[in-house]
Amino acid sequence: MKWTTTATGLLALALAAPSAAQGDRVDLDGVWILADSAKFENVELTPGGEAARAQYDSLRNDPGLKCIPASITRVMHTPSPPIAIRRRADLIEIDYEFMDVHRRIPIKSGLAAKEAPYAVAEYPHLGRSVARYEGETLVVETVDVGAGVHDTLGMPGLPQSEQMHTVERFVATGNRMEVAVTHVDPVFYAKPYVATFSYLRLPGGAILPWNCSPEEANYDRFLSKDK
Amino acid sequence: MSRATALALHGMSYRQARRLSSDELWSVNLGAIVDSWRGGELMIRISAVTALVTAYLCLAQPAANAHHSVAANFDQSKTVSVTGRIKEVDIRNPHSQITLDVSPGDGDSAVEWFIEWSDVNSLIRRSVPYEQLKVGDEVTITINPSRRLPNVGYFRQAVLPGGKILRDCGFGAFRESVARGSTEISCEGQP
Repeated sequence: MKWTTTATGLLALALAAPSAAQGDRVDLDGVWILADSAKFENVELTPGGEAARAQYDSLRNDPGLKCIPASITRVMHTPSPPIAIRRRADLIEIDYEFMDVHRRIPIKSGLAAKEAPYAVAEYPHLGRSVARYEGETLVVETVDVGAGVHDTLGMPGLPQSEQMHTVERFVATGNRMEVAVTHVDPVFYAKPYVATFSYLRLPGGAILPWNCSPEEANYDRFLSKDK
Repeated sequence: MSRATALALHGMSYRQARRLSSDELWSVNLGAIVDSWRGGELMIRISAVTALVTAYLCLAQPAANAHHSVAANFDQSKTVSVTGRIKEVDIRNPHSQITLDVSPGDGDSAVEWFIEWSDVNSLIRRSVPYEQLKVGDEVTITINPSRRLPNVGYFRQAVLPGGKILRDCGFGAFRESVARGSTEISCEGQP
């Protein structure tokens, strides 16, 4: 199948591509905030994807209204809450302030993503992830995500299927970090799409508790007024 | 509340906690504050609701608090100024909310307006003095109106009793400050 061939090729490129960033590389450890709006490129839905997106109602179907992070991409898309990265001997810890997402990703040679533990114990729908380094680029591969809403911001209601496979590439240069996420989902996307997030290091920053409460996060109190 | 408590409860860095004034330290205890606000006595007197579609805030840096997609739910090309008496102030995650009692001005009962605002963590980072919003005060709040819901909007700024303006320069201004090497937010350059 042509799409599959193309997707496989692009995914292979994403997995194998050397880092394009130049300059003085630094480690990724630290607290980071988004420096700019995220860039979503090549988002092209299949008819099934369009149909799924057409069903989305931002006042009712946003998982955030129940304090559930839709996807790691959605978590990173939130502008203001920072993320913190720490490298341990055999894993990468990424704490996302938004929705208190604490992701633990093993670095283990030969471990396939599908065999890795769920990266966020509280939210198995965020998938199984495995990490490795290519030079100074951190590469995180994720599979086995839950089907449902993928993103709710720039293009509200983007869907994802259980077949979505992502490859995140983290590169830090000075006080900047770029994370490029390649998404492959043949069910809902006509071709792989890439979301790019640019971060600034937040000196002295800390991850604060989010403590989201569904009773406070939902829009139920408004819905009787819906036009 | 001590700085140590702020550190423990909210995971704040010592540097962040050290900058808090006594009032801010107290305000970090959000639960207590919310409870006290909720217990406030309501006095309902209303002024007019003025709809203004201006270029002013169209050009302003959006608050960029998009947890439920501000752009999807609120029309950031429009601003409306709503005058009323504060009924509740809930400063929290994922969104803060101000409830305003607004009179239609013709003797009818007051109408509640729900004004959504940034998450508390961001307000703390931006050093926004949200504690200046007090239950019972009459204020004029400028909002971006909801695209679908009547009497619902997103906070842009408030004119407090005495004319003082409470502004939130937004996440854009914060990250510009960080890019300059400071976490001391500046509203310079913001409309």
